[in-house]
Amino acid sequence: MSSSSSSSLPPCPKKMITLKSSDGETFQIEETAALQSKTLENMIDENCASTPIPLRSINGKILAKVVEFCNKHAEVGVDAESLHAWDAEFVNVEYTTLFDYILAANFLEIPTLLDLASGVVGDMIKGKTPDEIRKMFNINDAFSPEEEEEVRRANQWAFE
Amino acid sequence: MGESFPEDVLRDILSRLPTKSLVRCKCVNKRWRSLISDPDFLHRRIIVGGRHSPLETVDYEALAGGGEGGVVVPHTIQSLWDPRSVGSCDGLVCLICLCDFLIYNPTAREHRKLPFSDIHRYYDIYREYELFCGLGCDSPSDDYKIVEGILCENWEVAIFSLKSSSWRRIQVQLEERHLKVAGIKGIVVPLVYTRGGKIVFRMNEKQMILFNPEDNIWKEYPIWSKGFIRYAVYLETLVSPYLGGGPLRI
Repeated sequence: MSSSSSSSLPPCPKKMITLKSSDGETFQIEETAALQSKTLENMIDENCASTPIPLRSINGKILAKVVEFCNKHAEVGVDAESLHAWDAEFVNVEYTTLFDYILAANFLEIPTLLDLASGVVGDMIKGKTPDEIRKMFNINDAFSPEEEEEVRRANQWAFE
Repeated sequence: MGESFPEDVLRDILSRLPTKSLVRCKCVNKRWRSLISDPDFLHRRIIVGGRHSPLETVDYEALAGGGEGGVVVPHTIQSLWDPRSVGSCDGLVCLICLCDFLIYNPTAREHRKLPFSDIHRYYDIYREYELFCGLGCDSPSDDYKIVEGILCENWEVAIFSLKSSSWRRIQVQLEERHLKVAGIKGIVVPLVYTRGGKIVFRMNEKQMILFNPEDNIWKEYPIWSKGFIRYAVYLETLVSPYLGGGPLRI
C-alpha cells in the first residue's frame, strides 16, 4: 500500500456528502470527516450517501456545530493540546445545547463528541441538589413529598 | 429534553459521578433511582475496608483521578470491636463485628446484620479450633452466600443465603486423610465461596480442594508453590482502569 503522498500532485477532488437537518438546511461535509460518525460510515459503506441524508432529529443550528466538530477532529496535524482547548471551547455552552449535542452524537454515533458532552453534563450534575437536577433535565415525575422524604432520609449522608 | 435521554446515555453520564453526587441523583425520580440501583450499574469505585471503628474506606479511584472531597470516607458503621473483613463480592463487603456478620455496601451505605450460625457455639467451646468464613456470589441461584465453618473432629459448615435469610448446615464428607490434616490447627484454610456455589479450601502446602456442598463432591488440585502462601480474593473483571497493555514486567 502506498501511503506516501506527494504534495506536487494536484489534489484529488474531495468526496463530499450532504446532510439535511430537520428544518431543511443542507450541509456539505467531507467524507473523511463524516467517517467519525458510525451511522454515516454505515450509510457510506452501503452506498446510501450519494443523495442528501435526512436527519430528522437534528436541527440546523446543532447540525452546523456537529459538522464543525467533525471537521475539526478530521484535521491533520492538530496537536493534542490545542485540540483539547478547542474542545473545551466547543462545549462551553448552555446545558440545553449540550443535551442537543448528546442526542445528536448518540444518533449519529460519534463517540468522541458523546464522551466530551457527557463529561461536561456529568460535571454540571456534581454538587447539584435533586431539585436542581430535575429542573436541569426537565423532569416532572418527582417522588411524592412523602416518598422524597423517605428516600432522602435513607441517603441523608449525601446531603450533609 | 434531558428526560428523553436513552438509558445507556444517561447511565454513562451517571457512571462518571462521584459517590456522593450519585446518591443525590437517586433522589431525582424513580427512573434515576432504579437505574442507579440496578445491579448492572458498574461499581467502578472499588473500595477497600478500613482498619478501625468507625469504619473508613479509601477511594482509590479518587486518589488516581482527583475527586470530590477527600478520598478517605468515614462511615457510620460502629463496632466495639475492629471489624474484620471476611471478604468482598460485587461491591458488597462482609465484615465480622462483635457478634454479627455485617453485609455492607459502602457505596450505597446500605447494610444488614446477620446472626452467626450455631457453629459459633462450637467455637466458644473449642477455642483451639479455627473458625473460617467467606462471602461469595452463587450465580446459578442469583444469590449471595456466606460460608462459615469450624474445623474440629469433623468439618462443621453452615451456609447463609441472603435471598432466603437463613442458615443451612451442610455435611462435609471427606476422606480420612483429609480429616487428619483438617484436625491440625492452621493447616486448612478456607478461601472463598465461589460463583459456582463451591467452596475452595487450602488443605496443606501442596493441595487445595474445591468442594460442592450441593452434591458433596470434592476435587483436589495441586498448589504449585513452595513455602508460605498468602491469598487475596479479587473480583474478576475484563476492565482494567489505569493499566496499560502489553506483557507484565515488574
